[in-house]
Amino acid sequence: MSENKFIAIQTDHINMEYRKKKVLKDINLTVYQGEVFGLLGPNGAGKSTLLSIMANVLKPSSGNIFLLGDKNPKNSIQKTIGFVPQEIALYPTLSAKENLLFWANIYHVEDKKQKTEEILDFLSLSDVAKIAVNRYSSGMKRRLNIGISLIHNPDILILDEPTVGIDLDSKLIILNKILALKKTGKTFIVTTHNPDEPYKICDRVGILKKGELQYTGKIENILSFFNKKSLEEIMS
Amino acid sequence: MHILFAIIKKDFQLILKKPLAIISLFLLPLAFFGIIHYGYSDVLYKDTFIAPFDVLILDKENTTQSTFLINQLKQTSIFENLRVTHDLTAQDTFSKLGIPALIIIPENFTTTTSIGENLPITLLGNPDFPIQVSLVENIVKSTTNLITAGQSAINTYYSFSEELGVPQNELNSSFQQVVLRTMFLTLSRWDIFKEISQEGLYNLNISFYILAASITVFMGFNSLPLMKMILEDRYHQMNQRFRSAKVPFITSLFSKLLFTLLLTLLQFFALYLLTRYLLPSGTFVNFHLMRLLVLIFLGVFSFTGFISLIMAFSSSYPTADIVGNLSLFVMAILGGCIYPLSSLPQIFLNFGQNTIHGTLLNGFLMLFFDSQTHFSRVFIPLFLWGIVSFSASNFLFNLRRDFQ
Repeated sequence: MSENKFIAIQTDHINMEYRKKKVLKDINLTVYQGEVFGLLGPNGAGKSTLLSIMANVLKPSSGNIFLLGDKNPKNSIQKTIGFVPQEIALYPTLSAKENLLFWANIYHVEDKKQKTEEILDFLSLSDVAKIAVNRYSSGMKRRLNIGISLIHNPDILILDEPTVGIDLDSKLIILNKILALKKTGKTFIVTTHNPDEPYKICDRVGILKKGELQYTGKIENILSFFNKKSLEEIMS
Repeated sequence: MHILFAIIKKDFQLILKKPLAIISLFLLPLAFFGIIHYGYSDVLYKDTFIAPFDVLILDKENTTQSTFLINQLKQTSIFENLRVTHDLTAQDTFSKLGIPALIIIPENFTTTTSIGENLPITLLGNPDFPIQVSLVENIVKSTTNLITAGQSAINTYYSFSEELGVPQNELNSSFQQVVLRTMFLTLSRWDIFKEISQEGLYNLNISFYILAASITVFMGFNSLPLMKMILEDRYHQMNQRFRSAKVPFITSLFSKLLFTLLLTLLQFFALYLLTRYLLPSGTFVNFHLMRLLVLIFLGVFSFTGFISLIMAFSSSYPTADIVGNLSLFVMAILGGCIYPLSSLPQIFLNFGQNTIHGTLLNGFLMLFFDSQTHFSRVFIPLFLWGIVSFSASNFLFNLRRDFQ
């Protein structure tokens, strides 16, 4: 699969130290355009740190990030990447529409009103667009949390635990939205704790443990690689 | 630039969504300002801080000359009502009537004065009004001094005429007439008692003094929501989104400084219009707009630096909130924003004048009343307050991070 695809994002010998502790150790990872890549691993493995480095939220202690073949992506990273933090990063007293318009202004999106309407429609939030976010259910907030990262139409979406803390129906809605977006050519890097989700949406996965990338490849091969019976065992 | 505007617009939206914030940022300042004016209305629009008061004169002489003398006293505006009585019991009753002072003109006062053997004028004071009694005493003393001065002049003429050889009988026949005429002429020179309003450091209009003091206090408290908004951004994980969108923290901070600047300007103009058009504030007060903008910006900068420093010292946000509020309040008192301080020891006065509140209040007073003084006297200290506070807080935050 990978040989015929263009590289969306590549990490080159990424190392990260935090308070003299090595959080990430020499991470070399390649994610291809149009695929959903699942970054899996137990708590404290360094998944969120790696995603934050990819999204320009954190600076690595050493190493580089290449975006769409650009070896100096500092200028393009803003337009190329949409980042969804693990926490719900929304202004709770503003409505969904106001939250989206704010980020549209930050990203200097052209025709921001139309783009906002499109996202609200895509996430099935048009009916509640003018209601303050603090009155939303957790699932609605999660959807809007993803919607914010779509406002500037990025090529690569980095989602840190996009389905954590929500009910099953809301999870399915979000996973379906990811698959729908994938069809439009967008690239996804997703972390999750749920062992079922990678099977539903991921083309490839990476296993990160104690800051080391121990595996990258198709999810079908992962059990035999680790000689385990379930993904849950590997992620624990 | 679009990022700055976007954040400022969003912050206004956030404020407008919170009725409590609107009340505390706009309605409370207006209410506070109104209450201060109402509370000080007795003294706000007077030329003197001693309200005019009643004085009773017991005219035992009761002649044309004594009436003339009383009329001269009436010209002194300090007495609201100069009442004349011939009732001797007034000596016992005036203090019970709440009258601060009783002046007794003795019988034959003008006659004895005319021959140079003045009977003394008696002043009885009501112990409940020591300041007013002292004032009347001074006026009576001045009056008697004038009479004595007139008498001295007459004696000089008398002696001079006698030495020149004017016959004694001629001198004596016209002496009494000359004495009275001279005395009345002397007493007519009331311009010696003309009140002159002393101008202070600034030619103060009290309403605008209160405006300057109030806006300084409000600016201090405006810095608290700013810090709260920064913390809320962190709490809601907005910083991650901002970093991902390549919005530097300094841009976010600067936008919040601008937001507070706009908020303060709105407060300022609301209070300014109130002072200028609704209150009987007397003198029209104009100011230089650019200086106002720089002054408010530097004020916001120094206050937010100060609050940032408080946060760096505090263990938690609630502690910072309490300490910040209290320290701003103490600084407002020391800076003379709650009441002009003059009786404190000099060291406290010097300290108070150099607080952010004291400096900023001084700046507003210069803006309103003294455009000649160089504004660097205010701008530089405010800038130093801000830069030192921000640097110190940054150092402390980093230090704390290293020890964690």
